[in-house]
Amino acid sequence: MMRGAERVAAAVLAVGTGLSVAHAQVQSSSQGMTGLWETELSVAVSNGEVDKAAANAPAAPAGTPEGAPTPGELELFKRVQLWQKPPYNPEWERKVQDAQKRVVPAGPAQVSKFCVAGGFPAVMESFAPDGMFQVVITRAETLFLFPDGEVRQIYTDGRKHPGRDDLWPTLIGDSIGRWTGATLLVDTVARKAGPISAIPIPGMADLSDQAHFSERLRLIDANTLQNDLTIDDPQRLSHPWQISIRYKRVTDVNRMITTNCTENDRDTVVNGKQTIVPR
Amino acid sequence: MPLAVAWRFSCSDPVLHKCGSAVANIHFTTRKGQDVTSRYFIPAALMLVVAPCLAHHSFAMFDDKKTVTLQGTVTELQWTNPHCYLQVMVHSGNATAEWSIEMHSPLAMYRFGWKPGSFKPGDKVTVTINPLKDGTHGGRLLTAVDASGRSLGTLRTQPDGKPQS
Repeated sequence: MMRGAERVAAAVLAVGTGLSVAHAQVQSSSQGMTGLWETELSVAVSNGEVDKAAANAPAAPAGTPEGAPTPGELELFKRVQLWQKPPYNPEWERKVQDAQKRVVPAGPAQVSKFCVAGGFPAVMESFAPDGMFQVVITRAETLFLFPDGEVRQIYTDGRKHPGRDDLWPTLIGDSIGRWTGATLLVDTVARKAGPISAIPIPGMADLSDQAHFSERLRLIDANTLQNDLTIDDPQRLSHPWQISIRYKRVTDVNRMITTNCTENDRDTVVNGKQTIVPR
Repeated sequence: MPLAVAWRFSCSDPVLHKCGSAVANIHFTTRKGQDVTSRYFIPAALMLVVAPCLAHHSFAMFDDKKTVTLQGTVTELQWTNPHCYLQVMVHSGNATAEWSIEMHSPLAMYRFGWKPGSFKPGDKVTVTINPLKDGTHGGRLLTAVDASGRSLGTLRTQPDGKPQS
């Protein structure tokens, strides 16, 4: 519910701009959410807290392959909630166990990389120091803009998800939302089946295209945004998987700065070892 | 999410990316669109965590147990994605070699206090790095100090915990 001050602000905004009161109420109650945000995990990485936590980790055992993650990376990955094991149902848990029995024999160390978008829900839990996103709110939709060009469009104009014949799975899914006071409720379906991000690694949650995502976004304080995310997948989970991601307002830059993976990619593999291409 | 380039692992099971301690197949697509698959041994302790890192790739290519300090002359600051590079010409005895010092993306570096003009060709610099494990002239930047003593790093905080200037 809108507080008294917010109602007054909405009325003033409506008179001053010619908007409908309903539109102004949305703008007034939600305006604190606009701007640039990053996960608390990105903040911890950027401040060196994650590396510091891993500083006393034991050295990698003999035989650790080329390209194995550093202690700091191991510490980091433990903190990414979406990369933890979801509550699989018995059938899918059995497939997990079967998969473990069918791994292939050891081969030579090799590394690789490729260029791909992260997709939803991974975009909502970046851990990178350049993983911020921008929230743009209009009456008809709320936009989440990401540095690599990905966009989440959350339609708040009252529409429903497209019908079965008009909807197909994508990496970002189809999102509709509604405001209740200053809280944005988002409903997302039609996320492409597979690992929970486009960067599949062993152990990463693997969902069907019937997965249903519910988000509840609200400000905890002026500079902290909380996203309570519930993932339900009747095909693969035994019960809804709930996580809560917190974001901090970005205050040291005031614009979106883009990233990409092809402009000057100098990382390569020579004789089985990762290295940098000389200038 | 700017994890634009990354490791991609899967087990022999095509439907489930969950492995025990063993070997995972790695699938990737070259820039020319060719699908490539190779095998990679992953010990049990690392099974859940072999993954992309910090915007582009793992930092496992750098020896984080070794720190090297180099004095030299900047030949170029490449303010580019997915990584910025500080190119430094280093003289050692009669030998001269150019080192490629890798950093984060421009967005991350800007927030660490860097700007595209932080270093110019000809500037004297002292860099502290984690060197490449393969022994070639390159590394991951920890700090870069210019002739005036100004230090820039790859964190939003300085070693004393204060914000980067």
